[in-house]
Amino acid sequence: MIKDKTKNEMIEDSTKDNRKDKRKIIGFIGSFVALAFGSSLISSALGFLTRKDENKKQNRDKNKKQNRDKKRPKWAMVIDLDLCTGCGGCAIACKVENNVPFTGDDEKMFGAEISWMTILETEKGFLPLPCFHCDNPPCTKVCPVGATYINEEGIVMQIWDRCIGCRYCQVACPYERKYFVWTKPHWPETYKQWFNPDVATRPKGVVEKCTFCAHRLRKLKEKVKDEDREIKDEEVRYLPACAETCPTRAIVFGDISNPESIVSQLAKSPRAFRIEENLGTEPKVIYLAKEKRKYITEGGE
Amino acid sequence: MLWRRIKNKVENIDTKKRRIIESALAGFPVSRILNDEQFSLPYTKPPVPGGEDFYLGEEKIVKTSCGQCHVGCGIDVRVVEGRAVKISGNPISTPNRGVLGPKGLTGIFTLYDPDRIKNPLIARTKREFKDIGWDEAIEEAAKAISKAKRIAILCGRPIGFSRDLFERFAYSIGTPLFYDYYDKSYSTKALKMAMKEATGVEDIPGYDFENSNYILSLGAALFESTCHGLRLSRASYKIKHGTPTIRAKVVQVEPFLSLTSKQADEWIKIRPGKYDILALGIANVLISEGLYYKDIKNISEGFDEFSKIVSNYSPKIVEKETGVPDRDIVRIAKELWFSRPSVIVTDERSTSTTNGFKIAYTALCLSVLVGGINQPGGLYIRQHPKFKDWENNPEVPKGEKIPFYNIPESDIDLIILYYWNPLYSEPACLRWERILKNSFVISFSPFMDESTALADLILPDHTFLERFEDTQTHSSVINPSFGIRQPVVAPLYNTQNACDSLIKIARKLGLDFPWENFEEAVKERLKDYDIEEIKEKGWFEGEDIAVKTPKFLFPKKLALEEPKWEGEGDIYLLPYKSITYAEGSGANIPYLQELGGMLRKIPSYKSYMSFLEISPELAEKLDVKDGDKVIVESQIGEIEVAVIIREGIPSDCALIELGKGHKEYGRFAKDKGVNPREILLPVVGDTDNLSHWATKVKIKKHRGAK
Amino acid sequence: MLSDRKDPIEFFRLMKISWLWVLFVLLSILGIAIGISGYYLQLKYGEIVTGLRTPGAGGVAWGLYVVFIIFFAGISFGGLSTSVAVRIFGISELKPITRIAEFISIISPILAVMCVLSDQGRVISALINLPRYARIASPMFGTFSMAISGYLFASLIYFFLSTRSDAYELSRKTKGIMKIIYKIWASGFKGTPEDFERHSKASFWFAIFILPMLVIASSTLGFIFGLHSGRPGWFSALQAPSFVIMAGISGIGLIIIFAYILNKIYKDSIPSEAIRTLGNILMFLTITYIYLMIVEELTSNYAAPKKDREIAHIIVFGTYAPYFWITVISLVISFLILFYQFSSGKILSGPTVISALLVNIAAFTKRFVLVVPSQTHGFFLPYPKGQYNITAVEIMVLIGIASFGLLIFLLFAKVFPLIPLETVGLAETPRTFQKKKNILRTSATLGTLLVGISLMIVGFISSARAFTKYYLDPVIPFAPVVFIIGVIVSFLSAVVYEIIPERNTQSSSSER
Repeated sequence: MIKDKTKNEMIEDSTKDNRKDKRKIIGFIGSFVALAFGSSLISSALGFLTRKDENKKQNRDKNKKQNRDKKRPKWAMVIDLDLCTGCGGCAIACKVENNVPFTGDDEKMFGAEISWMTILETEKGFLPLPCFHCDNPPCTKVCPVGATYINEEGIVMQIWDRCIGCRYCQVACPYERKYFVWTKPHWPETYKQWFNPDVATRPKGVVEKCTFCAHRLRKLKEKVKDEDREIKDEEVRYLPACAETCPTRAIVFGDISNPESIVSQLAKSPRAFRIEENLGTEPKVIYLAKEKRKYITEGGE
Repeated sequence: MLWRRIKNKVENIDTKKRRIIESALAGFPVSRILNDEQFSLPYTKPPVPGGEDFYLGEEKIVKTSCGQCHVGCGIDVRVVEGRAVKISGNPISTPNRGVLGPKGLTGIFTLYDPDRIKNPLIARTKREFKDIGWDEAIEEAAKAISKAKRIAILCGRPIGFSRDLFERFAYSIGTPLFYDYYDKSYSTKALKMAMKEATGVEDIPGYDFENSNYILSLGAALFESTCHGLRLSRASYKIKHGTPTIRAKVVQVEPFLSLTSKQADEWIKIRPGKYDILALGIANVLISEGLYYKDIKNISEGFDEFSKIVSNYSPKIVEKETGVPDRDIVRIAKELWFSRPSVIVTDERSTSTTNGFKIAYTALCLSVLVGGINQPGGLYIRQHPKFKDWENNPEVPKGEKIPFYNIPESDIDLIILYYWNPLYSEPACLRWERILKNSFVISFSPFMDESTALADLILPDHTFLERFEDTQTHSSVINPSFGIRQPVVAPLYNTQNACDSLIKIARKLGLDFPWENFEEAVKERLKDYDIEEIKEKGWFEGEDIAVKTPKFLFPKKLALEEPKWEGEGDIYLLPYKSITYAEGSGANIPYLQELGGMLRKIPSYKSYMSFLEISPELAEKLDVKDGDKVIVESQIGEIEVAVIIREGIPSDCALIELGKGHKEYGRFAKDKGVNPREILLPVVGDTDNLSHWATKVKIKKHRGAK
Repeated sequence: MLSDRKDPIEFFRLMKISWLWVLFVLLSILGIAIGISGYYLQLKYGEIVTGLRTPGAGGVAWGLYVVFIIFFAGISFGGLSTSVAVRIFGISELKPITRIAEFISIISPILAVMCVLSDQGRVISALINLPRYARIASPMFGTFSMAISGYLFASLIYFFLSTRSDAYELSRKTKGIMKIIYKIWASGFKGTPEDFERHSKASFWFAIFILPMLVIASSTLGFIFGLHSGRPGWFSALQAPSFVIMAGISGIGLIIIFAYILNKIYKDSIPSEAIRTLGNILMFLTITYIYLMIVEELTSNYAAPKKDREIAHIIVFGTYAPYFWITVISLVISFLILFYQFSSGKILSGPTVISALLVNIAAFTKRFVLVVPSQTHGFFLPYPKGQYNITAVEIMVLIGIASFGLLIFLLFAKVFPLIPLETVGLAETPRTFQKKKNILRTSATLGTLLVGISLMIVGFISSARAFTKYYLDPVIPFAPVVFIIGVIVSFLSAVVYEIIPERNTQSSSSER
C-alpha cells in the first residue's frame, strides 16, 4: 500500500516537476530558436536586397558620360638603369611630395627608416626601387581587412584608416617595398608648413608604400573631365614626383595597355626585364639595362 | 531617393569648388570626435605670416630660381594657401631644362628650417646675443663701419647684381679688401684663370654636352656636385635617347671610384693631381699622328711651340708619371679623335691640387686641339646678356689686396660676411677663429653658422625663396640667359634682404646709393628687358650674340711640376664634395643627410656621422675593420672618424666627405661628424688660392672605445 | 578508499584559500602588472620599443609575438584533440585528464588573442575593422575565425556540457550562493541515466564535427607561412601538416605537465596509466614530426632554389644553428625516452614529464627558427642582412599574458574541480540507459544546426566577396561576425540537444 502510494505520489510529483521544468526550458529554447531563425532570415533578406546594388551601380554609371565597358588604363613605369646616375633626386622628391618623415640620428631608429623610393647599389650601377604595383600582388592577397587592394587601373592602393598594422603585407612582399610606421614622427613645428595638402600624414602603426602618386593622377583625371577629353600620354609621362625630377629622365610613367604610349614601346625593348618574374607577381615596373646579369642577384631571373 | 539626389549633386560639382570644400572640411576635426589621432590630418598647421593674402584652397605656381648652389637652376614653386609646398624644375631654364637634382628639391627645408635667425641680433661680448630692432641695427652697423680703418668684405657666393652691389659698397668706403667667390679655396678660379690666359675672356668655359659624342672628364664630378650642374645628366637623356644609333661615351679619369666613375662608361685610374701630364700625353699622340683640328693654325697662336713642349711627353713617360697604361693613352686619344665632336671637362674637383691652373689650361688646349672653339659639341666661350650698368661706379681704391689666405690675425678692424663661413670652409679653418675674435664682425647670414656665432652684429637675410634679385648662372651654359628670383611667400620672420640692409647702411653713411631698395637697383640694370614677362616665365634666354671668336693662345712655356703635398704623414688625404652637401650647406637638411647613407648602404641614422673611406690593403696595414674608429692627424690637428672599407681606392689614399662636422648651424647639423678642413694644411696653389688636395696625414687606430 | 574521499569540496579544497595559492596569485598579479606596464610603453611610443624593424632595412617584422601566437593556438589544438580522441576512440585511460585538457583549450585561445592584439600596430582599428572587413582570401582569416574563435567556443561549449554532471553533484553538496551558481551551471541536469546517455551521444557527435575543424584551423595557421612564394624558407607544402602535428605535440606535452602537477597537488587523482597513454601518443607524433623535418631538410639541401638552400644552410650551420640543434636534440631525446617507456611496458612518469618539457622547448625554438631567418636573410634583392634583438618590452608583455593565463587557472581551480569527479571516485555514473525518442528535441537540434550552418555559409560567401566586382567591403555588413555566429550556433545545437528535458509520459513509467 505504502509503496503504491508513494509510487503514485512520486509519479505525480515527477510529472509536476517535469511540467514545470519543461515549461521553463521550452520557453528558453523557443525564444532562442526564434532569435536565431529570425536573425538568419534578416541576414539573408539583407543579402538579397543589397545584391541589387550592382544594378544600381550600373544605372549610376550610365548616367555618367563614359560607358561602363570602356577600357581602363593600366598604369606602369619604366626605369632605364643605363641612365640612372644614383643622384637620389627621386628619393627626395618622393619624400617631399608624400610627407614622408625623416629618421633622425637616434640609434634606436635602426631599421625603422621609411623611404618609399629606395636606391640600392649593385655591382654595375644603381637600382631605384619604387613599389612594383604587381598585377598579382602577394600583399593584397594576405591583408586580413583588405586595407591594401588593387584598383581597376592597376595601382595597388592603401587605405590607411583601415590598416590594423599586422605587417602581414610587409613580410609577404618579396621586394620589401612596404614600410611600417614604427613610431610617431617628430616634426619640428616649422616643418608642418610644407606638408603637401593632397596627401594625408600617416599615424603610427600603419603600413605605407609608394602609390605612383595617385593623388596627382586623380587631379589630372578631374582636370581632364572638366575639359571633356581623354588623358594624353604626354601629360602623364612625367607625372609622379620621381619621374618629374629625374635629371636624366630615366623614369617614365604611362599606360601600358595603350600601344602608342612611350611606356609600352619601351617595354618591348630588348633591354627590358622585370625583377624576379619567376615568382609570379607580374610586376609593372620594367627596367631597361644592357647588362641585366649584373643587376639580378642571387635569386635568379 | 533623397540619398540618390544628394549623391548625384555631389558627384557633379565643379572640381574647383570641390577642392575648396575638401580643404575646408579637412580642418574639420574628425579626429577629435573619435578622440583618436589615428585618422587623417592630425596636425593643425601653424599660421602663415601675411595671412590675409590668400583664399582658402588657393594654389599657384611661382617661378623663381634655386639658391641651394651657385648654378641657380630655374624652379617652379607650388604655393598652397601661402605655404611653399613643392619645388620642381622650370622647363625653359637653361641650366636644368625642367629637371632638378636632390639639392634643388630641398629649398623648402631651407625656408622652413626650425633654427633660423628670426631677428637682428647684437652681441656686446662675443657669443651673447640680444634682440634689437632694424633701425637700431643699421645705426650700429653704420657706426662701426665709420669707425673702422681696415675693413674686409667677404661676399661668398653671389655672382650677379648682389656681388656688384657689395663691390660698389666696398670701393665706396675705400677698402681694396673685397673678396668674392673666386677667392674661395674650393672654387672654379683655375678654370677662370685658364680661360683668361688662353682667350682673354674672364669666365669659366662652356661645353655643348647635348651634341657631344665623347666626354672625357679629367676628374670632374659630373654626376655629383659640380659647377656644371645637372647639364650632363640632363644631356645624357638626349645623348642616349634622342639621336638614333649614337650613344655618347663618358670616360672618367679619377684616382678613386666615385659616384661619377661608377656611372661612367669607363674609369681610368690615375695618380692624384696628374691630369695635366695625361692631357699632354694625349696631345702628344694626337699631334704625332696628325689627328688634330685642321684649322688649328688660324684659330690659335703658338701651336708650334706647344707641339715642341708636347713632344717630350710620350706615352711611356706619361705612364711612368701618372700610372695610366700607355695603351690606354693611345686608345683614348684615338677614340677622342674618331668620335668627334668631343669635350674634355674639368671642374673644381679636378683642380683641387696645387697645379690646378695648369690642369685647366692643358685641358683647354686639348679641347681646342680636338675640336676648335665654338664648334658644335665642343668647347664654347660663354655668352652673357648685356645689362645696363649703374651710374657712378667707384674706382678700385689704392692699396694692396691681400691674398685671402694671408689675412692677418689681428689687423682687420671690421669684417662683413655674406654667404661665406670661413671658420668652416677654408683649409686650416681654426685660424679664422682668432681672426674673427679680433675684429668687429657683421654677418648677413640667416642661419647661425660657425662664423656668424662669432659675429658682433647679425642682420639676417631672407632665404632665397623670400627675396628679389637676379640669377646669373655659374655653370657651363652657353647661350646668354639669366633668371630672376622673386619672393614666393611672405617673409616668415623679421628679416630683410641683405642688399636692402646694405643700401640702408650706405645711405646712412652718405655714400652714393641712389635707390630706396635693391629691387629698384635691379630694375635699373634690367631696363632693357621686360621684367614682368621675365617674372612670369622665370627665365630669360636670349639669342646668340654674334661676336668674334678670340684667338686661342697656346702656352709658350709650360713647366709642369709635381703637385705639392705637405705634411709628415704618408697617406694622401682626399676630401671630396659629395652630391648632398656641395659647399657644406646641405647639412641642416635631414633628408640630404640621410641620402648619403642610402647610397652607401649604411643605415639612415648612421649617415650623419663622418667616414674615412680606405682600401682593404690599407685597412690590413692599420689592422682595422669596418666601423672601427681611427685618428687622422696632421701637423695642425687631429680628428677621430670611423672607417669604411671599399674597393676602388688607391692603397695610399684616404677619402673623406666634406660638409659634415658643423659646430653650429642648426639641430640637424650640429656636432655630427667631423670637419676635415681643421687638419688641412694651408698650401697655396698656382691659382693663388689654398688647395684642398695638398695634405698628407698619419692614420692610426684609436685605442679605447669604438 | 571511497570513504576517505567522500566530499569533492574537501578533496579539491574548493573555496578554501591556502597560503601557497595566495603566493601564486600574487605572483601572477605581479606578472600582469609587468605586462601592463610593458604594453603601455608600446602603446605610447609605438612598436619601436620592441626589437622588430622593417625587413629590407635590417630587421624582422614578425618576431616573438608571432611565435607565441602560434604556440598558444597550437596548445589549444592539443587539448581539444585529446578530449575528442577520448570520445571517438574510447581511450578510457585518458578520461581523468579531459577536464584539464579542455580547460587549457579555453585559456590558450584567449591568450592567443591577447598576443595577436599586442602585435598589431593599431589595436582599436583592429577591434573595429576585423569584424567588419575580414577577408577569406587571407590566411589570417582562418586564424582568428576558426583557430581562435572556433577553438574558444568549441572548448567552452564542450567544457560546459561535460561539467554539468559535476556541477549537479556540487550543487547538492553546497549551500547559499554557490548552490545557485552550480545549479545554473548544471542547467537542468538531474543525474538521471537519460541525461548521461544524452550527454554521451551529444559529445560523440560534437567530437566528430570538431575534428575536421581542428585540422583545418591548424592548417590555416600553417598556410600563413606556407603560401608566400616570395619568402624563401617559408614557401613549402609541408607547412600546414607540420603545424598540425607540432600543435598536437606541444598541446599534449603541456597536458602531461599539467597532469603531473595536478597529481602532485591532489594526491593520486590521476592514474599513471593516463600519463603513459599520453606518452605513447606523444611518441607517435614526435616521430612523425621528426620525419617531416628530415624530409624538409633533405629537400632544401638537395634541390631547392639557391635562396632556400642558403637559408637552410644558415639554419643548420650558421647563426641560427643553436636553435635548430636544440630542437632536433630535444625531439630525439624525448622520443627515445618515450620509446623506452612504450617498449618496456614500464610506467615512468618522471621521465615522461621531462620529455614533455623538452618537446615544448623544441616547439618554441622550431617556430623561432621558422619565423625569423627567412626575414633576416631571405631577400632576392641585395638588401643588408637583418638582425633581431629581443627587447625587454616584448618579454614584459609576454610575461603579462602568461601570468594572466595562470591567474585564470588559479582562480578556476578554487571554484570547480579540475578532474572529473567520477574518475576520482566521487560520483557515480549509471550504466543503464534507455533509448527514448523525442521529436521536439531532435527537431530543435536539427533546426539550430541548420540555422548555424546557413549563417556560416552566408557569412563565408559574403566575406569572400562573392557577387562583388571591385568592392572592398562585404555586401552584408559585419559578415565575418555572421560567420562566427554561425559557427557558435552550430555548436549550440549540441547544447540544445542536451538541455531539452525528457518528456515524461505515463506509459513509459508504467512499463517498468
